[in-house]
Amino acid sequence: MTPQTAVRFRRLLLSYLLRYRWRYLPGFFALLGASLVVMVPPLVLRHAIDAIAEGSTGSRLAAYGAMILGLAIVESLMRFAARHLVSGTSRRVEYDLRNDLAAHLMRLDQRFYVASQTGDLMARATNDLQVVRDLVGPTLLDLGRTAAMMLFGVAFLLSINVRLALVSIAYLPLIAFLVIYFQSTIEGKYRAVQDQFGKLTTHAQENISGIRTIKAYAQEETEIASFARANQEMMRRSMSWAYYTAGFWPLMTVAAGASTAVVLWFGGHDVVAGRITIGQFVQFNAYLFLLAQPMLSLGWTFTTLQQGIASMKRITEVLSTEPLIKDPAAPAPLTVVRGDIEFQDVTFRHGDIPVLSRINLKIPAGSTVALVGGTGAGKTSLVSLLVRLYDPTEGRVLLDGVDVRDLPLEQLRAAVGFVPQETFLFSEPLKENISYARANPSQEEMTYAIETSQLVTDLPQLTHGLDTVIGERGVTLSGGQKQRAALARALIKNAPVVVLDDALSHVDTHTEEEILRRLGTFMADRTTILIAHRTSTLAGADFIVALEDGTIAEVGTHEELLQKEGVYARFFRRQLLAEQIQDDAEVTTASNGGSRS
Amino acid sequence: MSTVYQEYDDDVIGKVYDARLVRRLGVYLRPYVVSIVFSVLLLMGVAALEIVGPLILKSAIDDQIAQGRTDRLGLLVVLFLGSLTGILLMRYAQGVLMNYVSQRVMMDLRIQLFRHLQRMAIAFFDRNPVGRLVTRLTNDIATLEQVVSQGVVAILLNLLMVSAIVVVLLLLDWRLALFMYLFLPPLVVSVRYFAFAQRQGYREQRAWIARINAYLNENISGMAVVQLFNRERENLRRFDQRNRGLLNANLRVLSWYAIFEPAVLLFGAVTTAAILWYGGGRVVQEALTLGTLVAFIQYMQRFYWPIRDLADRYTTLQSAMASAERIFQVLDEPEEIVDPSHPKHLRDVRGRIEFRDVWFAYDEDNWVLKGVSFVIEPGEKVALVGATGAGKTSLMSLLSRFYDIQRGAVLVDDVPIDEVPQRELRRHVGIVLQDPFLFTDTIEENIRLRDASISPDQVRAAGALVGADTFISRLREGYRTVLAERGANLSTGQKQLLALARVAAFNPEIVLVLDEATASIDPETEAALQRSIREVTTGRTSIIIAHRLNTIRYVDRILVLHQGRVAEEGTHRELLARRGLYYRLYELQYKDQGLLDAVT
Repeated sequence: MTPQTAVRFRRLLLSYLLRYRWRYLPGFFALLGASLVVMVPPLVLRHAIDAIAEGSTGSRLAAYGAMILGLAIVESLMRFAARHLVSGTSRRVEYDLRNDLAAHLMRLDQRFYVASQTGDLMARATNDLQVVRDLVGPTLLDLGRTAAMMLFGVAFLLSINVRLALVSIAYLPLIAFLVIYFQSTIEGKYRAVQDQFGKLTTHAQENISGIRTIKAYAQEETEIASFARANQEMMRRSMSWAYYTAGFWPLMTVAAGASTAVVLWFGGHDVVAGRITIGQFVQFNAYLFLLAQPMLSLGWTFTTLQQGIASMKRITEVLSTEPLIKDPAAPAPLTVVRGDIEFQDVTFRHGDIPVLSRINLKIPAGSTVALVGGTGAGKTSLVSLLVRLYDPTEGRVLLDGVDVRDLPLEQLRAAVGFVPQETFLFSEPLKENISYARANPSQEEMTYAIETSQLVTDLPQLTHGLDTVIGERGVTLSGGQKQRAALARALIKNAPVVVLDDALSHVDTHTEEEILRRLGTFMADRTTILIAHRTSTLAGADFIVALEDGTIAEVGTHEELLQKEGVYARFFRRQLLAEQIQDDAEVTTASNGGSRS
Repeated sequence: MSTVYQEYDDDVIGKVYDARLVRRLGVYLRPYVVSIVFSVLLLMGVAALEIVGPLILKSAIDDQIAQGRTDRLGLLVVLFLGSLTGILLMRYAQGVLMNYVSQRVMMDLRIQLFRHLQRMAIAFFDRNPVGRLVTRLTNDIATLEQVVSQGVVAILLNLLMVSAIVVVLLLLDWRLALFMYLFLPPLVVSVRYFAFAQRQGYREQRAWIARINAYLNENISGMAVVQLFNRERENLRRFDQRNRGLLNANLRVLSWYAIFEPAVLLFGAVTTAAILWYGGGRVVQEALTLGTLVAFIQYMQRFYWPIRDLADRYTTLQSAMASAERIFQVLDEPEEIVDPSHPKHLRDVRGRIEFRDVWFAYDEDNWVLKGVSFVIEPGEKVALVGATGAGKTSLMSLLSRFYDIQRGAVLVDDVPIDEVPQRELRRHVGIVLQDPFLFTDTIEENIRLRDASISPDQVRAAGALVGADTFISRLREGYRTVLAERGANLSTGQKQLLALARVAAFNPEIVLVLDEATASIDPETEAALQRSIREVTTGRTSIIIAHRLNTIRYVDRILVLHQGRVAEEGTHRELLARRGLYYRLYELQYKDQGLLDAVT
């Protein structure tokens, strides 16, 4: 953790606590009150016992009983208030923090997501968050209670008899020492157990991931044997931990109980010698009982305190990551987006890896351009720069002559209908997925989108049509169906610029042609960028940009480039051949009575 | 240290007590019954000694202090300390014992589960994500372990304590005791009610957490789409709905706690007040001693704590039941590919392979292989060629019996492979996968797959044979170099060399090589790989799947697989001359190379 993050961490934690100061403050007052009130019943008990010893009447005893009851009611109310205010507030802090974290994640850009793992982010948003909640709730409460109880308890003990009090609390430092000694030893042993647990997990994970290899070489028994060995080590370490941890609680309880023995001996003599009354003797014992509990939980409180701080630091790391892509300080929105796109001297690097270098390209409004090139040529990166999934390292990307970095992000992205290479749909009804950019589209808009994308042909296969829930908890769509849905989602945006990044790769040839035919009118008055391989798509574009190793190799119309006999011509002919084989195959299968439907 | 992220679909809530599950768990406890009985006896001893404390105090007050005597006070103090020491020793012994039992039981269960997983067919692993199975083996069992070692013990001790106190109070003064028990029924009723409410609340909490996690996870995975479609605000609104749902559920549960704790406290106060009023009166009438009264008050304090604790243990039991249920679910999965009951054995394997009208589908609607027939003679080298999805990889998997076929027969040395024990069959078939799986272990262990029957010398010979030792010797610790997770510190080519060394070390009669084109291999490594493949296939019946057709000219025969059938068959020359599918594929690659040549 850098010093800067440390400062942020403290400021952040404090800001959440301060936000609810009007709940925390009365909460702690209630806690303080409860801890004070709880000290009174033993006092009442003392007087009652002394009264009984003197042979007092029933009405006085009833009065003492009523006092104990009354005090308990007051204490109950205060405890209720304390828990409600402090723990309840910790739930609110958890809620705020979770919302803040989600909001921040929404603002972070692709560079962040590429560098982080979903599992890790989730762990921070769930496990760590819960630990932090415990920190600002129960742990704070415990700390407060322990401090207050110790303070009041010792004060009341001293008020009875200084000598007896000092003798009976002489063991406190010993307990503190024991807690610290055991806690640190147990922590170390526990970490060893956790390490082995991690190894066990890795072993299981690798075994299952590599199960094909293991089965292929019939090594199941070897694997079982080595897993068993790891388990035995786990057992050994767990027992080494258990030898300490099994002793901890009993020892603490006994240590607390030992003070009773001390009081029995010294206090007993005091009573007989008339230095204290028998009631005071009972009162003394009652306080020792009250003090034992917070003492015992001290170790646990410190552990959760440490965990809470560690978790809060992990959350702070995410929250203090600044998004690299954000709205400009002084946004210059366009009144109407026409769709002129220009890349000026654009260079783009991923870390040290050059992806695009010195790209200069003008795409006039309304034209259709096809990007071709091999894997890693930079096609996807180029279109990502347009919608600011990334910003170029050097150079500028212009939309209608304005640097995209000067446009409000929302306007820029609303202006581009984007179908990404990897289709991502959400576990929601199909309809919600399609209208992702526009809530409540009209019936006509919906019909237009699903017809143009040919998603309409898939609907009969789905039990609830457009209301079918898809994804993990619903129906699994085929690759082609997913792409058609993603296309419909982009079409319904009705944006002046359209980007199709290899958007029809899983759609069969026949359907693809139908989609392209229907898209023809849609694309006519829009700027369209196609990343595509199929020859029919390529031939239909106004002009073609062939990328190679992050630079533009050729630009021109389909015919021009074919005549040029360069990169594009070779690419095109190779593609043609591949498609022929595919077609032949489909014909052969059909004639063989194949099952391709 | 790695942590497994608990999946959301696992947040199913089980019952608190499920007789069927408990009986099944009991089976695992049976071998340790002596330890368990001993542990329970120790607990009873603890409960008994815990009772002694207030009795000593009573005696000290009545027989000594109240009488103005201190002559036997020292003895009582010693007795008290003795009881404390007894408690300490017994609890410690009991704790260690129970930890031992629970660790052993869970180790047994974990190994049994692992063993079971090793017997599952590949199709099972296709269906179940790795994370889920790992969670069963690790977190689910850990949850169970905690309950056995801590939950059950605490519950038992609490029950023992409560019943012991009930008995002792009766013995001390039955009238005062019965008077106290008047307050018990309402307490028990309210504890039960609280436990029920708490369980409902817990369920609600888990449901909301699952929703939040699923939603957040999806948003993180699809963040690019969220941002491209300007959905940040709307999705945050939806996230907030779920978050608020959790907040409300949390606050409800908290209210129950906030009420429950003071309620128990009030019960305690009511009983103390009653003891003072009723008992105090009887002390004055000399029907009761002062010491008994004090002991009563102390017992009442000890009485409430276990009751409160019992209510808390509910949730622990609940999650344990859910974990047990999930573990047993996996254990109950039947073996899909079973060894024959009267297996035939492969002796002196020559390596003849025959596919006889093989039909195969992963699911019945989509046939991958539709009547494939061919014979490969011992020692023959055959290449399988075809477009992606033509069924080449599936065909390989069938020969190792990773999947069972629907129709037809696969034979090795004229024996149908489903009549041979799986592991015996696989001992004779070596597979080199395109992206070979490497374990986080030394290179040596990766080559021999921890099989001690293969000596380190054999491993080195295998490495030398395939030419892997050139790069291995360059590593600081040679064959003892530990690889990173999934061999991340090796190049693709190096990984493939290790996979080839595996085959050389295991020395099977039949070799299957998956050698698809990978862009990331430099020409030097590529050449080394090709040499190694030839080396490994020499003298063995071999099937090679290759995308680069110029690398398979040396094979004896080429099978062209198309749409689940063998479309063409013959030598490289024959197939080129036929000008069919193979010719097209070849031409495509040739052009591809031409393109490469022109570019470079």
